[in-house]
Amino acid sequence: MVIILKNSLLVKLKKQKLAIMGFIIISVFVLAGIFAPILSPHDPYAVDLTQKLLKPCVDFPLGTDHLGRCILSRLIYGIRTSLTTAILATALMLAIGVPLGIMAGYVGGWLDNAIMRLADIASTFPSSLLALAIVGVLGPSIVNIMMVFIVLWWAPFARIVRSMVIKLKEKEFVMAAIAAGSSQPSIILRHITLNVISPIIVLATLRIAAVIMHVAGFSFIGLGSQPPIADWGVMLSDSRQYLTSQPLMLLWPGLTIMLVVFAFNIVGEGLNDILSPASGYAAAVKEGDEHHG
Amino acid sequence: MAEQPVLSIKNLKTYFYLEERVVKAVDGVSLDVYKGRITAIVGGSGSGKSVMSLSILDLVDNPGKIIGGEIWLNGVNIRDLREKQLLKIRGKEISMIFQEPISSMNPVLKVKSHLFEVIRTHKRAISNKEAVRLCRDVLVRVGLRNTDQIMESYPFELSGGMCQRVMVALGLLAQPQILIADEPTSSLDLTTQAAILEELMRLKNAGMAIVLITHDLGVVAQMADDVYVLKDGKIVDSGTVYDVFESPRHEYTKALLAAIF
Repeated sequence: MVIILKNSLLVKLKKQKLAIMGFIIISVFVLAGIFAPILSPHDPYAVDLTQKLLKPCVDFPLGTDHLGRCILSRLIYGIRTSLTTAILATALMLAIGVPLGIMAGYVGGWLDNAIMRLADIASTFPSSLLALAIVGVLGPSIVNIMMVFIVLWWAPFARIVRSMVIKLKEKEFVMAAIAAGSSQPSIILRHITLNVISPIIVLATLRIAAVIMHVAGFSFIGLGSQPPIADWGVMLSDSRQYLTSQPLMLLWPGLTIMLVVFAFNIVGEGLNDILSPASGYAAAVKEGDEHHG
Repeated sequence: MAEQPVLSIKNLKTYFYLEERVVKAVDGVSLDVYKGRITAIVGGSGSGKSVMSLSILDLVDNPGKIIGGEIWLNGVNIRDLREKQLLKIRGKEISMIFQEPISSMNPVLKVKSHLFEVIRTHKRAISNKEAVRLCRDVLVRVGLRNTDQIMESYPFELSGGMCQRVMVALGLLAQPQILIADEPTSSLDLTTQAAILEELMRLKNAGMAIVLITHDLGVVAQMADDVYVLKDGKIVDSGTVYDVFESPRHEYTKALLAAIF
């Protein structure tokens, strides 16, 4: 009889306690970012030199920075900068890398060669060098830094997608679809693209974490977000001079970056375990066979 | 036989151009397929029977190439057709079912999506409701019950036998004249094999032309009307099932028969 593995994805997700935790952390951050104006106790840009470098107190739960701005409010507004840049940059990487990968894998030949050599260039080019070049020409801004990562980091997506497509197009179900008279666009969309989505989700999740970290890094050295924008990298950079007098000012943005990156990484790992052929589809097939006896 | 064949293959040649040599997978095969009869193509591994069946619908991948021959379907040589016209023949006039039923279905699509894909490809102008009814009918025809549940299932939730029935259903949806079954039962257990073969028999009796590709002479003896024996890309023996089994002309056929009887 038919076994319906009801919500099998959810069942497996439940086994991944760490991934669930990561997912909760990310959700909290996303919600906090959306409702930043309601949640933050103060205006993140309100300078008040009479209240500078305060220790955590009732009025300022995480203290204030060297200009007397509320650190908690700045962290909450910083979510907006970090997550939107990271998610937007990753989405654009996907938008470039996935179609190119599908084209390279499906069409093959010189097109495959051309796209993959471009990918080689993109993945061997040092990101800091390109960042310096772009910032040198266009000036420092978070958009320019995003561009650096989009220009360079579409390559791994294209590569993974290409190798999967090459394997997929030899699969029997693709042959069966061709034999049933399906047109090329329908085969590419329904039979190829749908099957590459899950590993791409895993890679994208891990990439979001990497982008957050790198963007914070570039903001820290002054190539990304510019003060006074509420950005975790900028906050870290600001705190350097007060390392001995007010070490908490460094701790908060550092911890925040760590927490978010950690959350995205464990979600990525968890999704990888759930979606990888060994534990996901193949296991389900095996389970199915066992039930059939 | 006075009747005209629905499918007539003349001197078909499919070669594989490898780097150092040319493999003549199908080398001058001619055969006729008639309505309401099962035409079996028998041969060992590597005899070219699968490549031949793929060649009929021009599905041979690089480095394979069809280099000669004619394939007449209802008076049209489909070798002269362009890719776009071929799309209307694949699945609509001639459908094919493959050896591995589970891997012949897309793991991320439900059975319903598979059925709908064929309907939308070949019969555009029907409503969703009608399409669902059509799917149910065809699933019942291939001997499946619980059709609603099956339509909502993913391939991995079905057994091999059920998948193969779904594949047959997919093949029948567009009401083709010819069904090519490439080893449809080799990966199934004996009882499921019997059920699928029975299904094919029923289709034959309903007037469909069936091309059965197999290495199993037991199945041939039980099912086929006409037999072609393929070896190294050439037809070495042919005739009705009685002719071939009673008086095999070629050493290879004798050897094949000796191996089972």
